[in-house]
Amino acid sequence: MSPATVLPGRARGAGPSAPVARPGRRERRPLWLMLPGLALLGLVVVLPFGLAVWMGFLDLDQYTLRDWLGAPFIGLANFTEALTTSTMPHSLWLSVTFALLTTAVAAPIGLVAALTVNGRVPARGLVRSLYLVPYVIPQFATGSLWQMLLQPDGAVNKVLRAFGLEGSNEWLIGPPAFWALVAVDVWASWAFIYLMALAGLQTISTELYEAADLDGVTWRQKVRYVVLPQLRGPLSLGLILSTLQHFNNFTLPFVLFGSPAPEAVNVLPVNIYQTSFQVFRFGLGSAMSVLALIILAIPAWIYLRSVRLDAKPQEAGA
Amino acid sequence: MHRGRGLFVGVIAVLALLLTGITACGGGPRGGGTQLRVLVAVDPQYPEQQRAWLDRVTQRFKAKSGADLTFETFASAGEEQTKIQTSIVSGDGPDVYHLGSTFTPVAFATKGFQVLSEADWQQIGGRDRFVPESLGMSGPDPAHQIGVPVSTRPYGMVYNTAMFRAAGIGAPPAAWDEFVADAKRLNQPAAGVYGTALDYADGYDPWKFIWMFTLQGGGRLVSDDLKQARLDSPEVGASVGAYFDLLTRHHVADPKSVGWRSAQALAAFVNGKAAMLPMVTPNAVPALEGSAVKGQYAFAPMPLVPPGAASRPAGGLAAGTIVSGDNIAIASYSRQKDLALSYLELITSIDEQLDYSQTLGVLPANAEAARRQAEAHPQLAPLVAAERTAVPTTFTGAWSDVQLGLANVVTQSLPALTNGSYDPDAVRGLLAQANQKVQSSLNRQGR
Repeated sequence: MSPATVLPGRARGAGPSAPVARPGRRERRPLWLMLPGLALLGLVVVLPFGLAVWMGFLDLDQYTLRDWLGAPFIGLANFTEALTTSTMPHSLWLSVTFALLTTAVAAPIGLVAALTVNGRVPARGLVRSLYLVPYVIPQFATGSLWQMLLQPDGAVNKVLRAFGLEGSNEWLIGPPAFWALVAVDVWASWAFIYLMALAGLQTISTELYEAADLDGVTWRQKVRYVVLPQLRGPLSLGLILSTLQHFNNFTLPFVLFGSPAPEAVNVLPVNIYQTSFQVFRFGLGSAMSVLALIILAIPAWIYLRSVRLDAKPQEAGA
Repeated sequence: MHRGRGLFVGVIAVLALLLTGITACGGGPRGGGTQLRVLVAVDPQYPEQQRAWLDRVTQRFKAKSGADLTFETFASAGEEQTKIQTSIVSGDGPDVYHLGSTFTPVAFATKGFQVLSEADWQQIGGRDRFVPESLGMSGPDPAHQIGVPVSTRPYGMVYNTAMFRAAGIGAPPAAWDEFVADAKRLNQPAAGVYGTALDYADGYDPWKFIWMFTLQGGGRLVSDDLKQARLDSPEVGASVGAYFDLLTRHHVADPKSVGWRSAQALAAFVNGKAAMLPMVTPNAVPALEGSAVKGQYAFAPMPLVPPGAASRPAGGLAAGTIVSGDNIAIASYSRQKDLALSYLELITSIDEQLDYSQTLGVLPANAEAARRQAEAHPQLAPLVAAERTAVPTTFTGAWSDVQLGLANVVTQSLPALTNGSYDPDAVRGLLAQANQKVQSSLNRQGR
């Protein structure tokens, strides 16, 4: 680390009484180089987000769209409506449950799949490619495909009945629709966890396995004490990203169930779409989006704290 | 502190420059008087034929006006609305929009489209050139019209003539009770053949049944003064019940129709599994002509007497079909109004209307072209006749709430229908919820 990048008073090993190294004029970091990046950040992230927040305070709909900045300011009314009289709380509950459940089911599948192709196995490249097939199919196509399979006389019911199970005529229209959505989303997305886990597995040194072998550990002990601790970082990242992706999934429920959706699958993204683009309550839709963002930010922040991705370099390295 | 402030000022300056650049790009001169931008829906049924038609129109427009025509397309209603919204907000985008008739009231509510004057209508060729009913969704009244009809898609029913003959039924039903009686005579559940095909899971057809039954029975979905939502009225509740009764009480439709959308209902008809199929448009002709029922089908207008009645009650309307089709509207920000009117004159002329209709499987909005079309294709005559009795849906910006609300009532009732019944109280509850949302929108419109 060059002297120019050492933070004043934070150098590793510097005691409380160590003299503070104040950089001279020439040693100052050229922060102005960040201007283009900051400007882009402002334009791409801060400005749209600020507008979305502002729209949440407006009675913005089809009647006021043309002069949207002049739409009536109604304070927190949209936020209050979103949380009380609208269907948002129900949709939020559905989305949270759906996201957690889908991730919980997809994670072990992805992990086991990664373990099966981590070592030297026959046709490893082919199997790895096949594992990725559901993940690379566009969600629109996945939704269309499963919509056919889940029809009352579709393949899903036929297979279930072949195994002596009852099946259902309501996979796409009634309460079982929720479980259909979970199953299809797990099918389409488990490979993401698989990818993250496999990437993590590739970074584990063979010496660790050899040392474990010398110690005479079983395969299960090897997974428990060698593999999983080493996968903590990539797997945590995979789990949080997967949860967020499931929470935000709009295409799959929209294609599978259409709009209006059955109550059991009226997840938050579909609800916000309906509110904003089918009945044109842009203000209410924005308020719902902002609330959803705040709710999503909580687990994201917990994750960042837990893996210390937000820590300053010297803290992370401490 | 100084450096922090400098950084802040720098960021603001760069942002301002970027925004200025963007604004300059968006606010520059548009078209230069020689180009007209038109937004049109991609036709999923005839994509190649549509592309060829777009090319033909572009050439004819060039010959007529000397200007270039640039078509922009959208593939879904969501894409269309996004385009309209961004264009209205930014004041930049296509000059001319092809709009679905039921979306026209919402477009009108945005104030983003030009109201046509008498002189404008004369430049297009006059209102007389159109089928009068097709103007029903052009605006709230003749003095405030934004939409010029370019095509119509009247709804009617199609029936299997061979099955009708075999059952000794001489003519299609004129009343809904007659429809049910005929359907029961045609029903052969053991053979997998039903009196009618229905599509309860479709996103669009169910609300049209409820609208039709309600208006025929003398009810309204929205009061005539556009101030009161009426979805919680007894007439609407009875209409929902009558629609569900076709399956749960009369058993004249395949129980699987609870999960069907329009394509599946059409498939049942063309495969000879249903004797009647209500709520079809001329778009169904290619599927019918390419199926086993070719030569054994005929169109008819929808029955015009409501369920449970021998004749229409006082206040009941002969509502067999909504005014359905496409309108063309000129964006309020467009500086190419003369070119746009020239385009409208061209595309609604007799020859262009016949070409458009034959290419895309719709009916002409031009009255003379519609007459010629009916003469050339007698099978479509009943649908042309149906257009003559078309009733416009309520011209209000709240119409999207009405549509979505009614569709939601049916969607949430599907599990009960699967079990062969429905709960009238649950239906009333769903209608009350929908009514609240429609009323809220009406209130906002009236502020």
